[in-house]
Amino acid sequence: MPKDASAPTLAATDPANHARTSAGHAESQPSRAPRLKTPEIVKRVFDRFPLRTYEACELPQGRTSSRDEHALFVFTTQADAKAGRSSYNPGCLKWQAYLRFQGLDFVTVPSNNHASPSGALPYLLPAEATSSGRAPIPSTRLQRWLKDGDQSGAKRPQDRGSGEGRPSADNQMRYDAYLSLLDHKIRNAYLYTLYLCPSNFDSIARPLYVDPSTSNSLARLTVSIQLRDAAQAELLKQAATIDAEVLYQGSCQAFEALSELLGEGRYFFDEQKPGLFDASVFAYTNILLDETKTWKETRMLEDLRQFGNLVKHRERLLQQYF
Amino acid sequence: MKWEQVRELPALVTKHATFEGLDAILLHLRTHHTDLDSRLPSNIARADAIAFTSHTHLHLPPLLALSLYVSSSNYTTTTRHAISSPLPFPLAYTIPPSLRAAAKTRSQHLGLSSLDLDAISSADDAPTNPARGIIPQHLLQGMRRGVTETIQQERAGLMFRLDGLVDEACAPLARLLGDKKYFLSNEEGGWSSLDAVALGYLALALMPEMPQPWLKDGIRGRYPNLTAFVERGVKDIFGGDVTLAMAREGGGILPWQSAKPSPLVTRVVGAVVGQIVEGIPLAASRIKIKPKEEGDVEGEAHSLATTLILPVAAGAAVVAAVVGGEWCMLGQGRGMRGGR
Repeated sequence: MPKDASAPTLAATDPANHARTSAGHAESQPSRAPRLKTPEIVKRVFDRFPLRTYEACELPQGRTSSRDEHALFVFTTQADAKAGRSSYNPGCLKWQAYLRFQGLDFVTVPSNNHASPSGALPYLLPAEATSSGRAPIPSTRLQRWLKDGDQSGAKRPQDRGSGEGRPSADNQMRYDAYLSLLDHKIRNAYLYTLYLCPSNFDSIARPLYVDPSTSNSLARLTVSIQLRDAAQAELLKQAATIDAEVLYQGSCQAFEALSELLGEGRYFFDEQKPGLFDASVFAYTNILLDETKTWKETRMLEDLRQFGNLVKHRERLLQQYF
Repeated sequence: MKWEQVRELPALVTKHATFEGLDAILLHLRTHHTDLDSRLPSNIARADAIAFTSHTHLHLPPLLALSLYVSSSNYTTTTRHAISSPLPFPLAYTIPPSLRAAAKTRSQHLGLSSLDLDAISSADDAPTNPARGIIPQHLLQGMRRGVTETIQQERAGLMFRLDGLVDEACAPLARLLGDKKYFLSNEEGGWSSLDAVALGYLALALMPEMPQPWLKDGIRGRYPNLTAFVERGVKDIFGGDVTLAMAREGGGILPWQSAKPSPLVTRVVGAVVGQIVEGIPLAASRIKIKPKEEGDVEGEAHSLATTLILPVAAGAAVVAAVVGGEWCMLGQGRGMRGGR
């Protein structure tokens, strides 16, 4: 074995060899790999790892006051959560409103994206008594969870399904198309007006999203910049420039179309009770028309106020369910 | 306002203002020009035009991005050539990759960009796989089975997801179209803004010949009425197929203008500076806040259909912005046909 002589130096200069040689594979195949030995000092260092293994952290469950209630984790304040008021985030409010419409009993818990298993709010932690255990349910699976009827222990939603009946194929087609108004036009204008309008960012977004997360002013600044950058990146995905006028006009058109769709009806698609589409519309209209929020740049609100039936739709739902 | 300032295609340049992007152009035409939708019979039809336009604008671009850019073989054989052929050196080498990167971010949320879209028909073209010529035979023996099996498993799931995306985008449109001539009207010449937008996106999905035709096959197979609408529309509006040769030599009914590129040195310097400026976050502010000055408009009505139809044609505008040359990309079509 003439290669043996050079082996120790080779191993010392090449740390990648360490794993292979220490496992002893080299011994069994002398013709292919040279027999390498790990220097004692390197081996001792690696033997010390891991220095200490900590126990896995438990999920933070202390926030929910009671475990026999479903808990929906949303962006909200402590006071609003106690009073059962609406969330200030459209994505969260959509599901909060929908669950209310469906008659589910639940409490809201103030939270943020970092607390969510999927990285996004809202998510629902079912009551302990249900058979599915206490695995969190992300918003994308909420509708199915409700349909599966796995809410024993808490008050069951009444009259499930009737609001979701989406009767005709024509309604189904319109449902998809008009939903894109919310997901595309209104969302884009909302992102712009909330995050990229400096005056609105200071009066609305900063106190709601930035200040509760930390008291350190440097960290606050960083979070603010991150939020604005994220909003900007999202808008730039769809167009090479962000044109405020185009965005506002787009949302105004979208409100016009939604108003036309609602017509004189109580709820969208002439349903007897509000469904997910109503919740989606309410999510934006409620935040824009909320009297407790002081929007500085009011273009989007004013556009919305032109459409009386959308304003009434919001008031109706607010009084009935919140 | 000149073409040099244009950052996004389609763009409409008038004497007084520049309108970039589909939304801005539609808005401008609606307020200052003929509103195609004013002829629609009812308010709900007008609302439908807005809603379905938004639907088209939300769902079809990601699919086109996957089909034209993310799918490697479609990109290398067809799309790259179509974009780069009218471009001068060195932009022909810098613009297509940056467009592809943009398309990847645009379709990121579908979660498909990491998957190899070309796996769909790789079983058929295994003998022509270029890698086979390079990799020694004895190495190929060991790895082939595992990789092929994995790909085949992925392929079924991938097709399923792509079909779902195509259905999500097309089913409401097909349902709205029904047996009518146009989406919102059955009368001859009853074009609405929705027809224009849908024709633009769908023609791009259906017309180009691609090595990976999953998008085309998906729409053709399941939505014959949309296919017929597009074929009819392309004939009515463009007078038949649009080819790359038309862009270079003129012809067809589109008002093409050929390019007059600036000297080579200017182009190279412009490209380098442009790439650097793009990379500096603050230097390239892309937010417009002030309402643009409203001007009277003349002389661009003829370019309505051609500009409307090109939502993906963002590249040439960047050229104009960067080069500072006399590029006039009026209706610079993305004619994929004959581009191979």
